[in-house]
Amino acid sequence: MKRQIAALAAGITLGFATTAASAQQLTEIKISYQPALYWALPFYVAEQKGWYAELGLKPVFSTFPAGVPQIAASASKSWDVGGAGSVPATLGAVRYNLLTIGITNDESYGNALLATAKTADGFVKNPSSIKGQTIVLTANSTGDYAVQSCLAKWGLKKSDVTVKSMGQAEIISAMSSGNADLGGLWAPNTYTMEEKAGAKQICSGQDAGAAVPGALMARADYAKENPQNVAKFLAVYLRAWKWLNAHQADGIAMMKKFYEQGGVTISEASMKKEFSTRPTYDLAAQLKIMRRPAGGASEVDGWFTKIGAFMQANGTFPEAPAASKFITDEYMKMVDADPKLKAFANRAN
Amino acid sequence: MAASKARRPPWVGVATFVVLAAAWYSLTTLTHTISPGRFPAPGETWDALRQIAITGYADARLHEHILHSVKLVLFGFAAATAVGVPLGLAMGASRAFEAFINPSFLLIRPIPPLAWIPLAIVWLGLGDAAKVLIIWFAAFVPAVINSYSGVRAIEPHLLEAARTLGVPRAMFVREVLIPGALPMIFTGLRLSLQACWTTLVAGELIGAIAGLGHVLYQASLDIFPAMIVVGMAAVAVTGAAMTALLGAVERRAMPWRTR
Repeated sequence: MKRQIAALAAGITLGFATTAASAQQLTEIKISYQPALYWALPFYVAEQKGWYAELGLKPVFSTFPAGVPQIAASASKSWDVGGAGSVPATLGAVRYNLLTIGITNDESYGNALLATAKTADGFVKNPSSIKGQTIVLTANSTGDYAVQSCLAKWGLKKSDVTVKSMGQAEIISAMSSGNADLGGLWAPNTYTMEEKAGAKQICSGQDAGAAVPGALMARADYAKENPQNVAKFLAVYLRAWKWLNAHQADGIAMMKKFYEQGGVTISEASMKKEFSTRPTYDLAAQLKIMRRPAGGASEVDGWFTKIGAFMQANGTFPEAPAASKFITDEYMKMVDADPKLKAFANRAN
Repeated sequence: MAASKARRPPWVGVATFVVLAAAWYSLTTLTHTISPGRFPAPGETWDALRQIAITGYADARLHEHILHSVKLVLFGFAAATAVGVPLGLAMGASRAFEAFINPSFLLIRPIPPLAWIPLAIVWLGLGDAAKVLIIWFAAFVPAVINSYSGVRAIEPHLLEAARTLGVPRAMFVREVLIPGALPMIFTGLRLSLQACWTTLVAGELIGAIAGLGHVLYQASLDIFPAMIVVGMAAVAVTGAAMTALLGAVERRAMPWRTR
């Protein structure tokens, strides 16, 4: 009996020592994102699966209601790495020297112009009838970019319509209450409008030929001092997408919980649509789209250059930022160059 | 006594601005004590001013934004004055009327004007009418309270004298009530005007296509501190100009008042 108790005590002590040692090895990394968004799901999945700890990271998450406050918070170093839309990422590059170190997903389909049920068919049949209409959207966002691309596709200019800027929640409220017939939204708000108010998507960034990527970001000063942590952060994110794409049914179950935490409830059909309409990129694909040919620009550079031009036209800054100044594949290459990280990033389980 | 009544020369106020401007330049541009991310330098602010004045920002140029905001403020202020001042006068002059109106007024009074935004949008849509309604709520309360207080502050012997002399009702209101309450009425109008401007900025956060509040909102979305400073300065200057105009109206309305 005494021997059994001694063995039990030794085991518990060993367990605590091991846990303490493991805890001591974990490096804190502050990760920011916006809740209930498709591209943020990998952060949730990775945390639930314990994959950060496998690489010695202890994530501390901070969420923001929109890209702008998230970007602004980087000035006080309240986060180190994170994800956001390409428009706030570009803004962050200009204002706070944020780096874009990867692409979360192609959300071209998920940023769209919607019309109310009673007006949608008319606008689809005759897009020029949108001239003179009022469109409610969130100014200087990926939704705004998609809407202006759609207008251009139909031969319309921004000055041909009246644009009223407001947050996504206010847009949903305005369209649901009949105060607006046209609205620029991003998923999952697009699905909320379709399911709960019968609105119809009449044009997306994809329809207009406008690539709308999401961005993985890092503070330049943090990345310079902690390149390994940034590479590990990317490796975890990539593994999470691998797993989600290989285990969609389980992924949708986790998505439901994640979205509910953010106050969003959409149907399973819409959740499946997120997977089917928003391509994601594994390590090889990330490196491919971020690769710069000698003296040339990468595919990602092209996307962000157009977004920068859109923001410049809106008066956000006098000159669009050069993509090469803030987009870097350095940390993706670090993942690729490290056999352990590469294998980790390519795991689908 | 005589020295304290002497007016200070105008250069004292100008000197304050000069000192502040020098400190601003020194801290942001010369010594870099304050980084551009925290507060814009004078040069950046000047560039932002040129941008909005010449090229435009947030879908209009500066003078168009100012005119749009002034229009909304004037509509809201005029509507609040037209309703609030007579209501306050009536409440001050008649105990029965005060007893009838006061309970409802006390319920409405603590509600922040911005809380009316969702209902204003539902009732009036996303246009300027909803914004005017919000401004009206903000300006209405000071107009009522100060008009009421103005009546209550009239010297009792004046009221007694008018009653004793059998002054007709209309003449009493015109010659005794309103002149007696005017100083407090104008105090209330100054407060109402100030409330109009502070509420306007918040009211233009939703669905505005022009206006200084719209500029501030857009500049905050763009994390554009220099443009935020330009917007704030425009609000300050325009608000001060309107207050000065109100002061001129006050001096004309009460020529018997000496400073």
